[in-house]
Amino acid sequence: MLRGVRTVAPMIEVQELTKRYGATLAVDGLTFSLPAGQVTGFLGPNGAGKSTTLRLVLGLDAPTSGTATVHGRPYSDLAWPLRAVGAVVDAGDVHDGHTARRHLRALARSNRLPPARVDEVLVAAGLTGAADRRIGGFSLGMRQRLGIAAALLGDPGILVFDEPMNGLDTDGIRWIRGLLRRLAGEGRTVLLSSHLMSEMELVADHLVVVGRGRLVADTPMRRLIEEHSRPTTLVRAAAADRPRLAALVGRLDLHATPVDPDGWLIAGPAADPARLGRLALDQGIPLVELTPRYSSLEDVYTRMTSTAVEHRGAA
Amino acid sequence: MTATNPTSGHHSPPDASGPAPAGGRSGDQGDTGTPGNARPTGIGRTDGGTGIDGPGRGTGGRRRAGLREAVAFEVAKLRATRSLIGTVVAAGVVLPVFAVIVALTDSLQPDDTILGASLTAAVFAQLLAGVFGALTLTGEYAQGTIRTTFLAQPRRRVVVTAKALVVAVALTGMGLVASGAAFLIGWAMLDRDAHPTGDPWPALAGVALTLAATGLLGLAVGAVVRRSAGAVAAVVGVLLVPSLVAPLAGDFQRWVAGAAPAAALEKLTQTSDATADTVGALGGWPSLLVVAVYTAGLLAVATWALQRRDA
Repeated sequence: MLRGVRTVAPMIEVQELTKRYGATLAVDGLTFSLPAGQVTGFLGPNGAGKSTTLRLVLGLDAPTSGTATVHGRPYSDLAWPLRAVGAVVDAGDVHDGHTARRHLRALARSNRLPPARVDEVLVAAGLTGAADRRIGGFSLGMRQRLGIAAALLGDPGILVFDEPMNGLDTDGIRWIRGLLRRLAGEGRTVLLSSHLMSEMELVADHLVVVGRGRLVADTPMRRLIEEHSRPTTLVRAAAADRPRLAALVGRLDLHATPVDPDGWLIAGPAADPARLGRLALDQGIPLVELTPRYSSLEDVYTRMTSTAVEHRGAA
Repeated sequence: MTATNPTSGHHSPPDASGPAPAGGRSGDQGDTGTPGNARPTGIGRTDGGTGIDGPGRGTGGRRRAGLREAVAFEVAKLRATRSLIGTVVAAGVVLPVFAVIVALTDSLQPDDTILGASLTAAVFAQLLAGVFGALTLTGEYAQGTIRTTFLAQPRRRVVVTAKALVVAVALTGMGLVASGAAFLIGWAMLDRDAHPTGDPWPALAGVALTLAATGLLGLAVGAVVRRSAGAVAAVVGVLLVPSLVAPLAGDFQRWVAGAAPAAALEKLTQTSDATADTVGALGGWPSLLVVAVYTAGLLAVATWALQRRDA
């Protein structure tokens, strides 16, 4: 997605950010910066400091040391916060007794946003039918939509979502995936944390991975997967050719795991599909399938975070 | 998904003083929306807007969101929150209701004024006023909306100031109407030959202002305690305990009881209970001033605590 954009100052910048709650070091010298126009996934196991970092960025908590800025300044120095940053920290941060419309109208007043904007974001979030119902009766998915509506209210350049897919159904997840891509496509900065690796893999351009409050990785998604992947190739033959394929696999002493039916998952350097295809051709074995496979983000992530934890344990 | 969204795009052109916007936004990115979704998305951004932090269209030329916006926000939240409205209404209703009860039962002390008898429930209303003040803040902590509030206005001093203004105005208005109504009921129903009327003006205004001050005291307590139950208990304690422990204070009884918010109220309602022996010789208005001074001090402490602590 190349475009004629000159390099701009980071929209979200975190420098040596540290937050200590009593004896617990929740965030430990975290540094990263996010440019505009991409979706950044914020990953880490529970307790890794993701939510704390987001709260520090949003000025809800004060850092023990270090700085976090949005649009180049601390959140608390923003002139019109909702016009600059839209955030959902917790979909439960709404008054159950209010209707969705009233909640948004009140928020609009806080930053002098036109009341008509409320109707627009209700449409954008797919909440028009529920606009005048009490939030107390909302499902978690509807609360997520309301939170996102509130975040969009000020048409901000930066969007921060903490676990926005929680409680959303399949339609909702498809909707938010499209929305996040679209927001980034419009040149906004989108930072989202999520535990849903498969979703993250679909939606994020860039990843910031934290473990135990420390930075584990800050890299484009594609590069992260390529660098940490263990490529494998699935080969499969027709049932009649199975013994011959088995013989080939056995003779080559490949790192192979049998896969039903009649196939093998080849790992390691021998997994090059071109080479495997050539070998099968030489032996006259007709292959039914020859599929290179890359690790999923989940595989890579699991490996990385377990390594990070081990490192910390050894230190 | 349509590219045009006539009502959106309230952003100003890029502000030279702000951070540079990312260029290249072309409004609609036809390939990224939810497939088959023909509705306008309402996300806006059709003007190549900036999303930068600067004054936008519709900001009335104001440099940044300040007290005016914060007050509008608080009023909107208050109007939508039934429990808060209910507390104010209850505080307002008890005054005339008790005036009627006192009149019907003719339960006046011989030395009571009509004003004092009409405002029998003043201290009860005061408790509710204090609870109201506390709940305007603790309710937000209970619901989690305090985070939403601080995201909309991160300068917490502005938030507290806005809440204080709304609490004070709501309670002053309610206090004037309710105490005025209570007095008129008493004046109409009680035996004016048997009892002196008292001096209703400006005492009624003083009553209303005392209720407002008590609401602010509650707000300050709420900011420090943050939990509704704890804050309500603390407010009730602050309001009632001085008169309970004062008799134990010996020669200081008049000072302990006399400085309590309830004492200011009793003096202003000119009830026969407020004798110089129990609550001191300081008049109603000076007592209110004392309450106002320490309430202001407590609010300052509360604001400081709110700014320091994580939301």
